[in-house]
Order: sequence, then C-alpha cells, then structure tokens
Amino acid sequence: MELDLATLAGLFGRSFSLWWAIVPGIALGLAVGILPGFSPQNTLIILLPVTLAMDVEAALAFMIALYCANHLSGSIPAILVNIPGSAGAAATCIDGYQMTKNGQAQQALVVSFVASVAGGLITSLAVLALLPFLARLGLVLRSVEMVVIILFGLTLIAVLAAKDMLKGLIGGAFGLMLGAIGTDQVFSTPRATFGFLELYDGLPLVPVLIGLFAISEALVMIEERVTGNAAPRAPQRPQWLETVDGLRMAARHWWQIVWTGFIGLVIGVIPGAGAYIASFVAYQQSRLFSRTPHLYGTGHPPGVIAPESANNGVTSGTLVPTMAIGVPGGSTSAVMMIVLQYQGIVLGPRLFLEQPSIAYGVFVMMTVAYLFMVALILPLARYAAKVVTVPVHTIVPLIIALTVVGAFADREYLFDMALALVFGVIGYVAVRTDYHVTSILIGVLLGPIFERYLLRSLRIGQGDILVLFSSPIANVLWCLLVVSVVLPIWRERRLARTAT
Amino acid sequence: MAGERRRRPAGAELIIPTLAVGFTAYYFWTVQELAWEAKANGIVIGAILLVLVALLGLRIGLRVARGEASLGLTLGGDPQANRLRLALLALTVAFIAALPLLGTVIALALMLAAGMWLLGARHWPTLLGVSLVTPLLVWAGLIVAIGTRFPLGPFERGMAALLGLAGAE
Repeated sequence: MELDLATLAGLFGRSFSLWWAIVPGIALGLAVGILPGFSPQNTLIILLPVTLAMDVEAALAFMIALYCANHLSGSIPAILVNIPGSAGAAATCIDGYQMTKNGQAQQALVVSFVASVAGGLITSLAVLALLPFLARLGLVLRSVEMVVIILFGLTLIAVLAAKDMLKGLIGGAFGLMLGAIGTDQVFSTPRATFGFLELYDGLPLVPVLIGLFAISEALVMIEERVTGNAAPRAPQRPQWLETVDGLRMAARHWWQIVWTGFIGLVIGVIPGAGAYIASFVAYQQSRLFSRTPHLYGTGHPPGVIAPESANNGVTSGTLVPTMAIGVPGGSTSAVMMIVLQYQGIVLGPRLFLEQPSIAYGVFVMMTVAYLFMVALILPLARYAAKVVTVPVHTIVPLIIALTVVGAFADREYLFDMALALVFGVIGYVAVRTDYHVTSILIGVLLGPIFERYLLRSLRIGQGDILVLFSSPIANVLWCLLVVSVVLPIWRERRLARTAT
Repeated sequence: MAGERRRRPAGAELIIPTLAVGFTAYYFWTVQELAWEAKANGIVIGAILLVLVALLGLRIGLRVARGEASLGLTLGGDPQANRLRLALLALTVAFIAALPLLGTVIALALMLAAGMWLLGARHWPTLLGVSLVTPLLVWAGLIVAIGTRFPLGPFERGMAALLGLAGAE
C-alpha cells in the first residue's frame, strides 16, 4: 500500500482536472446539508442513475465532493437558527447558536467553515500517509472498545448538566429511554412502540432532531415577535471585517482543529460509528482539556471548532475501511461502494496494488474537494449570516413548514411529521423548564448504538460483564474515561477552593 | 404585597419528569415478558431515571414545604405569545392533515400564508412572495429534481400533465 510522490502528484493533477464534477458536487452537498432530513446517502441514491452513467473517477469525485460539503453545511442552520442540518451538527448548536445570539453569526460561520475544511484537509492528508496503519485500526477497535467510546459521548450529558446536574441527567436518561424504543437487537421483539409500525426501527432521528431543535426554537422565537426582544442581531461592522475576525478566531485555535479532526478520523474508521459520536466526543474532550471550560456553552469558538473539525474528520475515516477492506464505514460510503462495484472495481487490499488511481485517488479527491471549498465557502458565510435579519413573522412559519417537510423526506412517512411536532412540544417544554434538549438528543442518538455494542460484547463474553475489561485498548480507554469524568470535578473543586 | 415572598411556580419543572416516568412505566410493561437481552439496557436506565426523578420530586417538595415554590403549572412567557404558539401548532396539525388532500404545494402555500398572517405579517408582496415562491421551490427541487415522494395534489398532477413529468404524477 506504499505510495510514491510521482504517483501522488499525478493523482492530484487528475483530481484537479475533475473540477467540473467536484464543483456541482459541492454546490449540491451544501444545499442538501442545510435542509434537515436530506442526507447525503439519500441524495446519492437518487442520483445513482447519473453517477452510474459517469466515468468512474468523475463519479467518485462528484460523490466525495457532495459528501464532504454536506458534512460542512449542516452547521449553517445549527449556527443561525439552532437547527442542526444533520445529527453530526447537533453539538455545533451549543456554542454556535450562542455566538449568533451574541451578534457573532458571521464569525461563527467562518470559524465553523475553517474548522470543517481544515479538519477535512488535515485528516484526508493524514489518511494518505497513514493508510496501512488506519486500515488495521478499523479491525482492532471492536464492540468492547466502542462501548467505551460511546460512553465518552454520553459523559457530555453530565457536562451539559453542569448548571443543574439533576435536570440534565433526567433529560439524558429520558433520551436514553426513548432511544430504547423499537425492536430489540437480539430477538427483534417490539418494545414501547405504542403499536406504531413506524417505530419498529426505533425512534427516527430526523423528526426527533427537527422537533427538539427546530420547532421548539421557532416556538421560543414567537416571544420575540410579541415582546420585541429579538436576540440575534444584524452585524454592526462592515461584513468582510467579520469574516477576517472569524478567520482570526479559527487561527488562534489551530491546534484544536488538528487534534479534534483526528478524533473524527479515528471514530470514522470504525464501521458503523457515525459523525454524531465523533462530534459529541470531540466537544466533550475539547472542553475537558480547555483552560476555560466555563466559557463553553456561552458562544466560545472552540465549542464550534471541535464538533465541526471532528465531523469532517469522519468523512476521511469512513472511507478507510471501505477502500482497504471492503467494509463500508457508513451509509454514504455504502452507496459509493455500490457505484464502484457496478463499475467492476473490487474493493480490498488488492485495489491499492491494481488500481492506485482509485484507491488513493479517493483521498486525493477529498483533499482537492476541500481545497475547492476554501474558495467557495467564505463568501457564503457573509451572505448566509443575513438569515438572522429575517423578521420573526417570516422566519418562524418558514422554519416550521420547511422542517416538517424535511421530517417527511427521510423515510417518506406522514407519521414522521406528526412525530416532529410532538418532539417540538417536548423540546419547547424542556427549554422553558431548563432541561437541556441536547442532553435528550444525545440519549436518543447514542442510546441505541450503546445498547447494540453492549449486547454484542456481552454475547461475545457469554454474559460476563468483565468482557468489557478484557482488551488492553479498552482498558486504556476506560482509564481515559475515568480521567475525563474525574478531572473536571477535581478542577471545579480546586477553582472553588482558590476562590474562597 | 411588600414583605410577602413571591412563590415561584415549580410544577412545570415536573412535566418532563412525569413524561419520562410515564414512558418508563410503559416501557417496563411492554418488556416484562421478553428475554433479559431485550430489556436489560432499558431496565437499568429506567431504574436510574426513576431514582433521579424521585430526587427531583424531593427537591421540589422541600422547596414547596419551605414556601419558596408553588406547584403552579405555568411555563411563563407572554399570554399573547402563548396564544400564538397554540394557534401555530394547530395550524401545523391542519397542514399535516391537509397534505394528502391538497398536495404538498397548495398545503404548504396555505400554511405559510396563514402562519405569516397569524404572526403579524401585513406586507402583501412579502406575504405572497414567500408563500408562493417557497412551495414552488420545494416542488421543483424536492419533488421534480430529487424525486422525493411527497403527497401529490391538484397542482403537482396538473403540472406533471402539463410538462410531461414522469416522476411527479
């Protein structure tokens, strides 16, 4: 799987020549990513007739550009109106929307774009250098290790609950219980489905996301219409200066972009681990190692950088097992696999010897797609930030109507629209009574996969709980988990002692 | 009255816990016959949830006993805003119910126009522009171009017949 510089230069040249496929892919990915409910895999499935008819390299370039741009643009509604375009952008709402409320919408968008592009660029270049090692990593990290990695994400519930631990934990536990809806992982018997067939696959994430964030936020915004206390404000200064300000904020936290991008890369390599695990884990770790953890949640730029860099690091990671061992790292890479197999390409280790232009080309194309995005997205921040100036009487009906439509689009059930509305009311009540909706969402997102990996581990260990401590990597992760839970408590106590 | 302590209504803080406890009880009831693998995770989390809710109930109970809080159920907020919220929710329910009958474009246009009117939009060009252009964009982008199977009505069928669109009939 070694790659020489001449081949690499040739691959870069070839990828740049595919700009005509990459640019439309980016445009479509950005558009689809903004709309909650429209996933890159669904878009690629719809576009299969187009990609199957294209030359294989052009089709790959188009799909990869769409995939990467989609991961980037989910943060736009998350930052501007507190509505994550995808589950991977949910953690971005925590600080991104606060920045908008503080009058820094454009800076937040620039910070998010720079973190996404830089995170994606760094990790795709890292994959080119470390591909043999990363390919093995996907095999080493198994169910037992995944249980601990997901627990890292779940500890974010406690972090978010810092202001009122009891309410935060109740929200998280409620989310975890809701995540247990649907047929069980072993015998496929329905649990707590209220008799709805639509819930047999579990609680659909898109309507929950839309309800908890979008509809609840729209209902809160109505207060502004009546009282006139509109929170988000139009930028005060000339707008390019705000872009430069955002670039400065991102540059100040460059190291944050690098290491949280690698969190995304490693989690992306694990087949089945989604971008949302990476973004929640990265946010939690970023706060843990920060010198100013108390600023997280108040509109702190690293709170935007960490989930966005990790979210885009996942895009590189998820393609590693797909190309190296022929196991799709996620649903989008599974669709890409279909296109490649249709074109007669056999994925796996031999691909790197027989067709390096495809095997390594994927990661070079990803790097090139991110380079194209650098030029395309900064002007976007300037114009997208204008959304905050739209009057409440227009934006609220638009949010509710379009997100309810988005709730339908994922599975094409009217039931999901009603479900989004139910979760909208739950989200509104939660916001009004100081329960963190992100805590509930983390439970709903991570609950089912936690159960899946836990049961898989227990079955491997024949019911013995000690199987969770049976691997050296898992044991190291357990130690890190204990440190990440204990360290903030110890630090808070030390600060309190210093203050007294 | 000066000197009299204002008791903060805390009953609303129990809405989410009550929902959570209700759902947990329902979950326990649905899994009672299942094998341990199918219910272990939910039962452990549910038990933790019940303990947490009991602690919250105790905390609120103590506040009520001390006279610091009441069990009032208000969510706060301006009464006019609350009326608008309820009206908008009712409008959204009507939108979902009307979708299969009117189709996506007409239902969406009506929903947007009514929603904007309800919230006080009186600038006719904006009101008409947003409530007509948005459904047309949804139709062109999501129904015609991407092919999402939204409920079709007279508009979608008429346009499909007029333009000879195969996927949107």
